[in-house]
Amino acid sequence: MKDQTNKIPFATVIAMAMTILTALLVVAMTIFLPAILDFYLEYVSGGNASYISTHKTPVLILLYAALIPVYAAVSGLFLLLSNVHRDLIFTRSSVRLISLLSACCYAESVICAVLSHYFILGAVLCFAALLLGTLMLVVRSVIAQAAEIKAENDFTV
Amino acid sequence: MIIVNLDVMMAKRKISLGELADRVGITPANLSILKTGKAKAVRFSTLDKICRILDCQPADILEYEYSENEMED
Repeated sequence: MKDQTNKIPFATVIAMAMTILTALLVVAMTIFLPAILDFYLEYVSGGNASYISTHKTPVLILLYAALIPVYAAVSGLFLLLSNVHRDLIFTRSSVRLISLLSACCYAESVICAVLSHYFILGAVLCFAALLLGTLMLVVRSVIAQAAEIKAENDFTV
Repeated sequence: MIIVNLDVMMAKRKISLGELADRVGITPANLSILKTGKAKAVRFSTLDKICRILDCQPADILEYEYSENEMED
């Protein structure tokens, strides 16, 4: 009945590829963040050296802090996808991973709220992260209920 | 709490776990879950087949015992 470990659904392949791509992007961001920030601050302030020097360090710290939940979320997503691939979707570990994703989104929204003090884009990202975190919570409730039903079904003889 | 006395009946009829599972039509793993008391539910169809093969009544296999902690609703 369970012959699905050989066939990988197309959606899972795409999800895996996107996750790996996101991971690479995040690593690239970590490396090139100072350069990107320099360029952006110069563009925003029109070459105002005092503006750049006062704003650079706190914004840089904030942006690096913002990358930490992203790393955690991408690893959580990767582990979740490997669970799906091994046919272990409705289990307690999947529920915990989705909770992790939700917590990362909320943490990201807090950091973006602080970032909005410097850039108004932070407020937009904060709202988006809040929405995504809430969506993850809803998905978590659904998966948790499904896991309970599955556990009961597995122990029905 | 419901206690399953399947091993007693299996010993009386001298039938092994694998053979009983095969004749009932469930996996030995599932039958083992039932035998060791880990099952949460039994289908009537499964109970029917077990009683037919072991030539017994459900009361020979299932027993109720009062337990202090009410785990399930």
